[in-house]
Amino acid sequence: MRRAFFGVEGLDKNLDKGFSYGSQIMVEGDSGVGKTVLAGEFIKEGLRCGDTCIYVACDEPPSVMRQHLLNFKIGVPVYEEKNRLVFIDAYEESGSSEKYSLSDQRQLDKYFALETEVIRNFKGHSIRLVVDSLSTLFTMVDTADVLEFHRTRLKYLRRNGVLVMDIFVNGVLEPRIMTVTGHLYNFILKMNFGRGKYNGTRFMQIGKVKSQQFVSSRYMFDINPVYGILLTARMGVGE
Amino acid sequence: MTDSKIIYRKMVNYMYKSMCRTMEQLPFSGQHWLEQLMFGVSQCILDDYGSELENSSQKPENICRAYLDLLDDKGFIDANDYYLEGTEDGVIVRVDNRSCVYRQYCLEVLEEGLPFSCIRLAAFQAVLRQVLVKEYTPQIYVDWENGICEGKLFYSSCPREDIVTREGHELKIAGRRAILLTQETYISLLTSINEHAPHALKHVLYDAGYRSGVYLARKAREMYDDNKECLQFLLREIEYQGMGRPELISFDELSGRAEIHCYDSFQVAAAEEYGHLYRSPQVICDLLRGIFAAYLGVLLDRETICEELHCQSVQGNYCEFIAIPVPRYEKKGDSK
Repeated sequence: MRRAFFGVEGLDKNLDKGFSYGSQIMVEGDSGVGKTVLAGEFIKEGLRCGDTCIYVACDEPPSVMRQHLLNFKIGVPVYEEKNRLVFIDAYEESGSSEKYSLSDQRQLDKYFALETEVIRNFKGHSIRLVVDSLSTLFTMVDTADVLEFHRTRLKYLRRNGVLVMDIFVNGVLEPRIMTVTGHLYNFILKMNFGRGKYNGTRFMQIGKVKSQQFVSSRYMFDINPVYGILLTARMGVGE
Repeated sequence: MTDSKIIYRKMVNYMYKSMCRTMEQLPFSGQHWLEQLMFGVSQCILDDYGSELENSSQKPENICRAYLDLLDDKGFIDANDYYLEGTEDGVIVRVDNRSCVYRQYCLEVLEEGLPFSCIRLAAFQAVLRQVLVKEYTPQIYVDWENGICEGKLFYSSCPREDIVTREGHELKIAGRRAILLTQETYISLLTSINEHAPHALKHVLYDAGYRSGVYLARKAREMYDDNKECLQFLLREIEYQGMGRPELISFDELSGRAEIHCYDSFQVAAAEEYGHLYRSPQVICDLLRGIFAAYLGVLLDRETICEELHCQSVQGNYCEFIAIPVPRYEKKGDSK
């Protein structure tokens, strides 16, 4: 079975054999740190590998990701025409001109129905799904509902071999929800701005939760307008 | 026609066809050298009878007319089979091909898809070169149904990219210094970029393709008025350079969209022999992608982007490319 990668050199190098389709990645990070850029890299890599990439835009309209990809010289309309790049508008709520849109962000069951409908439409394809950001959908929902929805959804996606990247913005959800949610993912990628003498420097850590501990490798990274995310050094912290 | 005339005619046609078959095996199409051979024949006629050429004009159609009269006078051709018309930068030649002595050669060579040069048009090229000391580029359209060949000779100051010459130890393409790159050298370059700057590899290839494509497309645009014709010419250049065999599937000038399939891309062959440079199977022909984007961008004068949707290195027997003008997205949603 073909393996998948982020599309970020340095990060991929340390993934050994990459992800299997059906894996789930949680990306958790500070606002403005580059989570959407990482999502763009993940999509770009998927498009090159022949995947169908589904992007759920919750925090900004889909046109922002379209323009972002275009800035990296990705011929977005070509992939959309060929159904290789699909946008779900979970931002506009009303008056969306997208083929797939969510009418009410607060109703997780409606979201789940929409997501499964889109995935069913591309059955047989290797699918990458990016939700940017899932935490936005969870903000106005009861904790118990969040956890139930999340378990059911991730089970469905795993069973259907969908490679998932769920994005969470730091500080939006309660730490307890984040901890419990984190256990449901195969990989966790944390993206943060450094503090103290590293103020303003971007860091990322990729790892897994093992015995309540986040075991990871830490990297410094930057965002380049041509190359996207560039890992500059491995910090050797927490390894 | 006597038996011996038929035999001689057949022999001449066989010889020309054989030349074309040989030329096909030369790198960069052999088209230039084929034309040189045709010139050579015409030059022999000029060497023998050129002093009798009655011409004092500098206009291409008048020079060609004088040459026609000379050949008619010497019994080589019947000048009545020809129609000449002057254009801004050259001359249009129409010939009745039903009685053309080179009909057999022409039919068979075109059918086999071999490099082709119209012998009659080459003769005019030769005389124009001799009198005006200028190079004229030929273009020919053969209409078998109506029995007409329409050729055009137009002045071009740019040497063609298929003209490969060796001057002492220097190899030149279109008059500029060039090198031949083996697969080993090419893959060494790529491997080296991948080791030093892996994040840059696909960008470097796309960009390099784009830059070289822009150069060639600008040059070609000076030679062709028709965009589709120009694009076909540019795609042939890719084939001549050994980078693959591109085929134009569709081209809509209005929308700026083109679909191109490329068989046996050089990059695919290199990957098959030396292994893939990327971690997972994916499209790899970024150099061609850049070249196609540049071609369309220059021809349509619109910023263009090209995607490789399927790569022969992953599956199938060709790579699929789609080029489109760069779209403009309006940012909305500030209301939220």
